[in-house]
Amino acid sequence: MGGMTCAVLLLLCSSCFREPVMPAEVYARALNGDVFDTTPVRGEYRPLRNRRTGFEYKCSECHTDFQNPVRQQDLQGEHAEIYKSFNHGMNTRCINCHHTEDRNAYVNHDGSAIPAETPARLCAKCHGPTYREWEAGVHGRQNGYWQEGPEKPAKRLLCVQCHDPHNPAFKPMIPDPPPPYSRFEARPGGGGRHESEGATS
Amino acid sequence: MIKEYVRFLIRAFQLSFDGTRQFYLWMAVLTVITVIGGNAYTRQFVDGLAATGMTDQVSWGAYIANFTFLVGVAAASVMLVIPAYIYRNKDMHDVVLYGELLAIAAIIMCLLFVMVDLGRPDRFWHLIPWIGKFNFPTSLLSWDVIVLNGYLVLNLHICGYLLFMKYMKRKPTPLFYVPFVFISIAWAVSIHTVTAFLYVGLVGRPFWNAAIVAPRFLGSAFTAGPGILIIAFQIMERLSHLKVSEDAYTLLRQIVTASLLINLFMLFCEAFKEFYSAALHNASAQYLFFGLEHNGHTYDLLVPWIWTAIVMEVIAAAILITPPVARRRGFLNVACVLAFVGIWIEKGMGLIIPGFIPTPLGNIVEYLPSVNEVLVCVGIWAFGLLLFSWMVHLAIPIMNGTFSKDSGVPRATDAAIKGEVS
Amino acid sequence: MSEAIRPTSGRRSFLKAGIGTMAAIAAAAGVLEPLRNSKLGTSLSAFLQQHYKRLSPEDLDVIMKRLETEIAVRYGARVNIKDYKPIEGVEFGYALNLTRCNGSRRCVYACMKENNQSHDPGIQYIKVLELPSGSLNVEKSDHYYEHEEVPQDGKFYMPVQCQQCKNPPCTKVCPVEATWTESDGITVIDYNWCIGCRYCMAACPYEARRFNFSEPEIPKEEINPEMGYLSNRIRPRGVVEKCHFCLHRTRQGKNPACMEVCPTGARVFGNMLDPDSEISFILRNKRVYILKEDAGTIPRFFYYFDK
Repeated sequence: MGGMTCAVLLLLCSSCFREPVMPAEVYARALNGDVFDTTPVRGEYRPLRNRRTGFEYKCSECHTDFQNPVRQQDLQGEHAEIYKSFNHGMNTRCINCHHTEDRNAYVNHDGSAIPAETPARLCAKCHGPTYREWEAGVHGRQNGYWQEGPEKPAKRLLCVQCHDPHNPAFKPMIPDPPPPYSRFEARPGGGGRHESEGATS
Repeated sequence: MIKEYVRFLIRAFQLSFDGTRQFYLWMAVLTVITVIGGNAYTRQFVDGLAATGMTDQVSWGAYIANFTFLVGVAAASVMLVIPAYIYRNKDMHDVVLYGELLAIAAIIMCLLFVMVDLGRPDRFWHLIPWIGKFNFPTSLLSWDVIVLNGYLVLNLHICGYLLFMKYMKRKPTPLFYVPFVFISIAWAVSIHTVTAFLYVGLVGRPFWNAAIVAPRFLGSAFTAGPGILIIAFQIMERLSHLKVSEDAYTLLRQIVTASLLINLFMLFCEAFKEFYSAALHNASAQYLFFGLEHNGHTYDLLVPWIWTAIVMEVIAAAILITPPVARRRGFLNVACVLAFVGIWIEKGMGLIIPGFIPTPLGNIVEYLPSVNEVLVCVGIWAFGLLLFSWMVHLAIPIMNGTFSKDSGVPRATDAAIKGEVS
Repeated sequence: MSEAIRPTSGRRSFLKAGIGTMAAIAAAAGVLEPLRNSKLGTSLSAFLQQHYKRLSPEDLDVIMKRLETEIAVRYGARVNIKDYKPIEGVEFGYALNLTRCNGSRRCVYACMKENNQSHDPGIQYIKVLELPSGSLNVEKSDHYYEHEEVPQDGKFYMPVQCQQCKNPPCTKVCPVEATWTESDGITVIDYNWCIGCRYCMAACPYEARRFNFSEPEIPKEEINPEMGYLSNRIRPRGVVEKCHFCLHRTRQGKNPACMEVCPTGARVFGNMLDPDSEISFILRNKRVYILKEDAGTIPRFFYYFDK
């Protein structure tokens, strides 16, 4: 009998009850986009190309005509944008990375050229431990197959496909929506009873 | 013999529909509530467990809470069996059968509460050993299936055998029931221990993962079971000519008193361990007793619930430890009801729900049963009461000799049941 | 009605029994009323279907064809269900670099899509926890963070999914062996054997398991048609599901979906038995930790910080 009484009490409490939320709408926001997007955050890598007014040209197409500056000046013209957002720690000199004579290549410690096709070797000059991990396949994004084979390619991204070389910190992202709080509530804090309608929007 | 047994069954069926107006009214009300509960369950069967208030975070609710409590009620019949059979207490021997009938009703309610909790009731046969795939002995739930059904069979056998022999006016052969009685004593402890281990074995739920849960289960069971029997015996005495001796009441009262005090002591031990150490694992206890602050919200749905239980149990204990008061039937009844309801709260929802709050990943989602879920629970309780009333209705005339193989057609009129006509 | 006017209580009780029977029929009708408009129904073969481990390859083919038809009828999508077996000599491991994870939740939604998780009710296998720097106390975590951008200062993000334990509490407690660990370390569920008791959900210390409270709702165009019997096929109602390391992909050598979309490359997956694999490199060279080591579950999912 005691059990019954309490059950009846419970029944009274639960008369102001909640309906399950419809999380389908919450998900739609995230799912309507291409959720299976595997393109790198900075897109495909194009070795040392500049693109302006619809044309793409190699660095050497300009830099054979221009005199190399004796010392670094504020960047202007073509490279003003780079200068504005430039943020690479203590590495503040263009020629730390760019070859002074061969503008289509990067420069190594000994002054020799690092071909633009292998940009990771340039980064390795300073970021040795990270480079080793990248080589081992544990730093940076990988796509494709964990079990490599002839028809099972594993695609390893280059440093610059995630990091802007002139401003290498990984950029913040907009997060996808949170899960519904529970089957009954879209957002936490309702305590379980009356707030679900208002909170769904 | 077989012929006699079939005749017994037919006559028992007839007797089932013979009773006083009070009996009819009581059974009719219970039937209506059972039907409402059955209807609610069918709705759940159609809609799935979406019809309940359970969530991924709180994945067990009122069903499992009631199940846990009722296992205790079933196990508590052992508190009558031990004095009756081991200490050969005459007073208890007269009423022990009704305790065992209560155990039968409680076990059937337990099994129903487990059934309604299944997401796929159509696959219940997967639980049948050999036919299905029974994960024994690894899963404690498989142990529970065995011990609960075993306990049901044991009690059905003992009660059925004794009642039939009494009906046949033959002396029961001890060999056919005494060994089973002794098995049932150990078995009663096992059903509650196994049910406690169901929770204790879960390493991811610190609130349950404590050795004291099993002893606490027994302590609370031996309070609630005999407590409700004290009430049931008085009702039966009033409605039938059953006579329960004063000594039997005294013994039951003493059992309830001792068990309740032990239960409160263990509750205190647990509370001390949780709150004095103030380690992270006390979050569930914190939620249960005081509410939990999390990411700027306070969650405290169960706080009034559990304090109600504690106040009830403390009042019951205060009455029971004051013998001059406790001897007064009115006070005793109040104490028994308070203890029963208090334990139903504390060991039902008060034990199950905080186990899920916070979740293992520190999330807090509170739980309230849905209306449909409550209706199913009420329906099962009504069905259990219906079953118990029916069994007692048959057992009393058999035990007092008005319904036996030589008696005429059962005459279970008001007068006959009260033993005034013979 | 007094007792005096009862001539033969025998006939009377039969009459009462008759009325009782009528009442019982009425009661049964009342109980079963909600079934009238229900669309429930299961074929006998589905009802009697045996445990995955007891099925012959031929049985399984028939069953998978039946399931494909059921999905076509229910969701209007043509799908392809296969049974992917573990690869010999492979034990999967997963590592997650918490320095790199930025909490973008891309993995959560790729997982939903790949694994045909129900949109309504919403089911997600991966939970991303936002934690204050300097604490691994999950009770300080926020599962529901919403910001203009991530990562936020002073926070770090810890995605949690099934840890594929070596000593899994969930398989231990299942009363019907509907969930077990395969030779490659993936704990799977036979969705056609699970009875929905949810004991495994209570047992899991990582909150990895989800329950299908109702029939999963997935728009037809969102359904991923390449399905595995033990992995991402659309689940029936009333059963438990969880992350299975995308076994329909990974057992073909592919990366799991969550790793495939992780924009920061925080996730590393591979064969722990191969000393040259990326995951082995991490286990050798990084100071990894496992979640809730005190639970003794021995996960195959590892976390580490770079700095």
